[in-house]
Amino acid sequence: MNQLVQSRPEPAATAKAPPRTYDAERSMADILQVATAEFADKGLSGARIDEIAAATQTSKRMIYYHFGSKEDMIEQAGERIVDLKERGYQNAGLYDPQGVGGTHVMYVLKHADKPQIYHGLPADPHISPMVGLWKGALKPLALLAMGVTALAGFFHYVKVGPNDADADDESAETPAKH
Amino acid sequence: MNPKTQVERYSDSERVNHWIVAIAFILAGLSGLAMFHPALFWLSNLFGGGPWTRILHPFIGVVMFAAFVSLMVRFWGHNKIEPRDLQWLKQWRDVVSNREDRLPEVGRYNAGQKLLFWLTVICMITLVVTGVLFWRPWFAGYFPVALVRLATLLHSAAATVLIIGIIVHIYAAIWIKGSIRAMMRGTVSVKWAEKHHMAWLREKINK
Repeated sequence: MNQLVQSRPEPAATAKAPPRTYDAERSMADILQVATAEFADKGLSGARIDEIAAATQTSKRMIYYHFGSKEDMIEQAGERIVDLKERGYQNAGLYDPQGVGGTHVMYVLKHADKPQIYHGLPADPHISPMVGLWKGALKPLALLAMGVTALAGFFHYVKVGPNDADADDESAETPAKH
Repeated sequence: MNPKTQVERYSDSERVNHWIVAIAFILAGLSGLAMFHPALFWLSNLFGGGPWTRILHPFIGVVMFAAFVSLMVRFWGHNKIEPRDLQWLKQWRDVVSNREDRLPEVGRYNAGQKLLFWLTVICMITLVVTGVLFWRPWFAGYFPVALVRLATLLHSAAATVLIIGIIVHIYAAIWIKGSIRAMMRGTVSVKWAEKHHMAWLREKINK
């Protein structure tokens, strides 16, 4: 029984040996895609390897195996930039504009000084102050104001009590009865 | 007149109209809050999840606005600001301390109710106009993104003001006993009318 279990993976492993390189490439591509989205969404410091691992078909350990840490990935882009510069692309660079907290996909551009030539990538995109106001200050303040209003009503009732026209006489008589 | 005699304050159709607006407001408000802040996203469960909340919200809003326009037309004439309303507002301390005997006589609506009416009119119009501007996929595409962003901001601001106004409105109904009955069953006692809306009662009797 023991022997059978142990012997089983052997032929399977040999059979799968040739496509393994292909799987590794596909897994790396999968990780790259998820990771760029994760970095673009949350920035270098906000992105979590655990979340990238959860969204891919692989484990955290395998991500480090393939790519190393987050800094390593930026470094890998840096190597490609150096490579491009050696090939004459003096303005090669990474497109990851911080004004919008990074893009959905980080690009290595041959002409990073002119991102507009790549289907109109904006040179220095930033969050509209209207969106900033809406997503930043207004939301918590609005919820706070709603909560405070409801609480003010409650405590007004506690302090002042109901205004009951039909019960006024009865409440005036009550103390006399006792 | 017997102080317990009931007088009509809201007709059947006025009450039905009011409650259609109220129910639509609760649904639009809860679905809107679900999309307003991540902390309130759980409210989307009431509408069948995120996508359904997003799909239903504008339609509920349109129903609310249509019903509100009908209510606005009915109540418009009763809400014109008069000189005595300013005196009433100046004495807001007497209002919140249940010292109504010191206040000037009130018609069908007091100054607070009138202000709430006009606030609601402004907010409802703002909500429907700005809401259409970023209603995807049908209308948002026709407008520049800067306008869509401004519309989103104004929509949230108007909704916030309206929600706060309606919290005050609901609280006032709980505080002033007899108001909920007036809007549910349509009548108030003569005593209630004498205390809160003397000028309106006199007008009604003289008719």
